[in-house]
Amino acid sequence: MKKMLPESELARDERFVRTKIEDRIFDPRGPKMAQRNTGPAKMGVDRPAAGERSRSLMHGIFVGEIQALEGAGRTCYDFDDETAPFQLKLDMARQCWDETRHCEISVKLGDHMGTEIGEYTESTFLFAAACNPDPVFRLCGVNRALEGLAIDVFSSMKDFGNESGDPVLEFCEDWMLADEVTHVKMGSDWLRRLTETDPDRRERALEFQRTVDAIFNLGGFRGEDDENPIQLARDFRRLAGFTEDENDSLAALARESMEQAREMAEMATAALDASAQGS
Amino acid sequence: MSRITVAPDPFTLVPYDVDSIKALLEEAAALAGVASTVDISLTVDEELFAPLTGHMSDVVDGRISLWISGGNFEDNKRPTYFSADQARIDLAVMMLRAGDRLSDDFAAAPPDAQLPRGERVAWDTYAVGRAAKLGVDVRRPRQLYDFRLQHGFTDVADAAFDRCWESAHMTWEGIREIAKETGAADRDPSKVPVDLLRQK
Amino acid sequence: MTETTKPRAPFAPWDRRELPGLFQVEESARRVGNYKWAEMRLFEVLGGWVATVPELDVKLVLGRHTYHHAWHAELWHKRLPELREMNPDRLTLPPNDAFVTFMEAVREPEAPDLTIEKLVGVYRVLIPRFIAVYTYHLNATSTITDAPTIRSLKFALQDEFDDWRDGEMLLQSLIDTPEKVDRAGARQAELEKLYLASGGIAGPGSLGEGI
Repeated sequence: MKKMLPESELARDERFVRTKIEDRIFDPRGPKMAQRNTGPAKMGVDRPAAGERSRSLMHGIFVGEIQALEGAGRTCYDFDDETAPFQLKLDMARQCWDETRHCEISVKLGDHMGTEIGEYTESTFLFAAACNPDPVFRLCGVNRALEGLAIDVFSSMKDFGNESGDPVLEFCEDWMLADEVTHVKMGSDWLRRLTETDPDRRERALEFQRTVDAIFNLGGFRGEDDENPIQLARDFRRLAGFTEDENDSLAALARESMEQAREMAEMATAALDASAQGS
Repeated sequence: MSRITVAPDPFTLVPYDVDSIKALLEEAAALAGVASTVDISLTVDEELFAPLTGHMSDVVDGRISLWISGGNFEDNKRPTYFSADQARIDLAVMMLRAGDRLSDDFAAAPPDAQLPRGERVAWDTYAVGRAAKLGVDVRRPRQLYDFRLQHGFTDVADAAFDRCWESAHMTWEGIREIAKETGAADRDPSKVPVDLLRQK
Repeated sequence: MTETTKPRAPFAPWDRRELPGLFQVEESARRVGNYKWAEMRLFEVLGGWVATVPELDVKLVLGRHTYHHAWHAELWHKRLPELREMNPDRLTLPPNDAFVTFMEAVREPEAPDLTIEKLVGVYRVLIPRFIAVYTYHLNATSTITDAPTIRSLKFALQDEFDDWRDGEMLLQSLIDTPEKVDRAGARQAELEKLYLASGGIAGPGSLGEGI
């Protein structure tokens, strides 16, 4: 079996349908939607389509966990003992086990919410972040950026479970949060150890992490306002070892992404209106 | 013959076909037992996409007035594409509720824009349960979860769900009793208007 | 003489453990180094396969088993320095080149339609051999002097039996046509011949042959 499996070769059964992030970006309804008031995006039982939003997010979590499992598994295999020390591979194997459990939990939660496997599409850019040929970059992209996002997502779902009085959702998200905190710490620890004598490599890896963070802030998916479906979970991030500076920087990046999305939507609407008048 | 109108005609943002939707709506009306002489108008908000779904069924001066998010008709696996299977389910539920509004049993029910969420989901459950009995391919666990979100994750709520689902005949008063029994009626009023998605 | 000062034998009458064992320290260390090498190669490929198999239940089982075998590798890694300061890196070796060839063959399948080949290699060839070689070591080594190895062997064996059962059940559910029976059989035969040529996870004498 070759090393470095590309994203296009991820194996799936027929239930899964893949979409590209561009499909959403170039959706003609996007600019129109950006101008509408659809209420706070933060999940709540008294918000429009509460059930459908939570189901859709739960399925997104599920496919994300599959990809996290696949990414950790590939990191066990893709590197020789020189490039990825034995202890790092042991940590990745442990992460495989954790992500397997998260997949199982997500499947059960999907059943609880009335979702079917493959009901929604799957974007594979999470696995794409795990395809980097440098294990340090993978750790930053996956264990710091994406597992950090997982902390935010699970915390938001836990809050939703608490608000809706759903004991199953709250229970499960709490357990998964505990694991994600460990994963982030693992990533931070290995970043430090593997780049102790190579600050340039560390900086490049952190830049990769910021790029991944930015993708998931796209359109205001994550932030600290009611307009953001996913809330930045500062307390849990602190437990995981993120500094306050890192959290502040992420929040600022989120606000910037939101503003950019708004500007793009306005420009697109203006272009659509001009085109309609022209015709 | 009733006059069925669908708006927008034509669709400009998504490739939905008006005639296909009309045909499905006729089918749903027949399934729900709505008289063929009743006029039906359906507005599809094509700007909305999944997961911003929702629908409303009202009767104004004897005419059925329906509103639905374009996201309800959207194939979850192929964004912007129409799913007849999904449309069939939602239209059946909408027409069953519209049929309820035409009857005396629901004469006192406020318009959908003023329905509290607990009562709305109980009524939906009553409709989805009937749709299931009529052979529409609905998903009970999905409806149960939506019901629980508004009525609680309790044995009382689950028992109330079962009654709504199994019932062949309910009234508006019965729906209100359900909401009182589960405590949904005691929840604080929603800060977000229930018809927010319909507002432009 | 009081009751509390009455002498008792250091080994209770039911404790029949004896000193002698078949392995000197070096031999035990050599074997443990071989075990570690093999468990490492196994957990790496199980992890790598997760992304290549389309079957959801197989993905999840492989994900879990990746950790089991990684943990075994870690047990062996920790045991090695205890065996009179043996250098773990120097001892983490395959027994011979033929075993490397065997492991490469086990790890070779990649395509998404080769799940049967992947699982047969692990659950019908390699893991049963782990069970055999670990059992031999357990029975052969000194129950007193090599007790820490025995303890680790018992932990590892518990996983090996459970994993073997998981894998075998998956295979039985996947092999649902005569053609798939043939595929599984052919794959097993191919790998067993390679294994035979290597002498085993600990090389010739893995199960005490020739003693």
